[in-house]
Amino acid sequence: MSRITVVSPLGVNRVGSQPIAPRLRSLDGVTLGILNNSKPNSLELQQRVVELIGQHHSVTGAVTKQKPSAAIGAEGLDAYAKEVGAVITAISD
Amino acid sequence: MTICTEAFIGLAREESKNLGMPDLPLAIIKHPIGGESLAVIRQRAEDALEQVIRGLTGEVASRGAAAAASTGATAPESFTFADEDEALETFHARRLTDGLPFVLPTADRVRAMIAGSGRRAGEVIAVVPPRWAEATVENIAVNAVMAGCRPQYMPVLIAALQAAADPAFGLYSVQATTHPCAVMMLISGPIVDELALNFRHGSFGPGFRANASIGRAMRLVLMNVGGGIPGEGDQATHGSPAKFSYCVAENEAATPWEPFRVARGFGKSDSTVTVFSGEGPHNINDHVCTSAETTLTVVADTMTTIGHNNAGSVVRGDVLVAFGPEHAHTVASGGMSRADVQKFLYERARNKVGLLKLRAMYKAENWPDWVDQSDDEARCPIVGKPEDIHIVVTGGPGKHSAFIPTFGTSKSVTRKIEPPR
Repeated sequence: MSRITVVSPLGVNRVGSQPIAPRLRSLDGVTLGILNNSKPNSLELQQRVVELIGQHHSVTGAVTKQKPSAAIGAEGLDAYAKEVGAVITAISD
Repeated sequence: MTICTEAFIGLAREESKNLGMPDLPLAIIKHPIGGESLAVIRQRAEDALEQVIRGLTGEVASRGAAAAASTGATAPESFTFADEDEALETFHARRLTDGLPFVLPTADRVRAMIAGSGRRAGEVIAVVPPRWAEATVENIAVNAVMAGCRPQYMPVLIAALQAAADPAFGLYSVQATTHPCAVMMLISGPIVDELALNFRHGSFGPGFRANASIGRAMRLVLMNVGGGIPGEGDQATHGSPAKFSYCVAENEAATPWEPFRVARGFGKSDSTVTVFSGEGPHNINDHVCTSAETTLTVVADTMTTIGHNNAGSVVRGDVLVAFGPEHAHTVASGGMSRADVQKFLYERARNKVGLLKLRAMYKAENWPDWVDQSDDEARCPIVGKPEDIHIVVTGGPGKHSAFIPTFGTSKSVTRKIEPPR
């Protein structure tokens, strides 16, 4: 019986490797960012995480940036990155 | 640093990998977040704490390019099997199909399908999320073969992919959401007859090769190229039968108004495809109304529920009303133009603010500015303006129409279907 060859239906991702921001030495003296997607309870979760971090480290505060919808990309991220030392995001329902 | 529930690990890992950052740290906590008490949320935060601190300050492994390559950059161009049965079973096992039998995409069949497009095999038509993979003419042709398309359907698929890739459509979210939306294609123009697309009895249903296979090919592209695999890149809670195939044609002969494509700004001689992030059609049954106002009141009432996404998203989405020919005739006989119908439905299809507040995901910031959020009796429309209620006539005889809510944060996009070059 002859063999059969078929063409792959998959596409090719050409994004390539992207650098990850260097991690911080310490959270002391850092302004944290909360990038929120507006899902129910998500802001409460992120704010509580930042609050708990504040109990262990002397963070200098938090700057919240809220998207109007989880389905919309955040704008102004370059400027936001200059305001904060690290950003905490969240996905899920 | 990203916090993620257990239910979304697959999507989070896939997405970070597909965007070239496979080692992005995640803090993983129990699912869900929405609908839980504040006490539960505070516990979730405590569960995330150490992981978040570690993710912000710890070492991050760097597999870099090698891991990124696993997204598909090294995907094989072809597979060889001992026989057809092995090929079919392997495609099923690797989740390369929709679960139904399919036509094996041999090189000859794919070549014929590419020829139907009149384009180069390697031409990139769209980049399809959430895998962010390129859909070339050849990729589309392979999936079109699998779906049972004829080569002359290719221009429709190409235009539909281009439309779906328009940022206004928001394909990433349409693909990845827990909502059951599918990519619905609405075809208008001379190509409806040329391809023998069904627009009469059962226009949303089975039985017609062009509708069934074009809709299925779109789904296969979304899965095989875009990675919209249930439980992976597609997080739909239930999904929908509409995700198998969703290609509808306008019944232009029974349309008492200008054709759909003309209403969208295209020429009468053009053929167009419009993509909607549609739920499956919701029936509108009215066997007694004899006036435009009473018929449209029934339509508006069907549109006025708080569970669909448009009820909360409002200004960010649009919807489709698919009139059956008999309802359309009743409405138009009263002298109402398409714009009149849109205005009527915009003013009548509204939910009470107090009722919308019951929804956990009601979002006042997505409502028109003039809606008084402090007044529970105030009424909020389901779209931002009358023109966002799209009107089409499709189907055969009978006293039925259909309402198609959408993902909500997505606008329909229309593209002209270009003939093969």
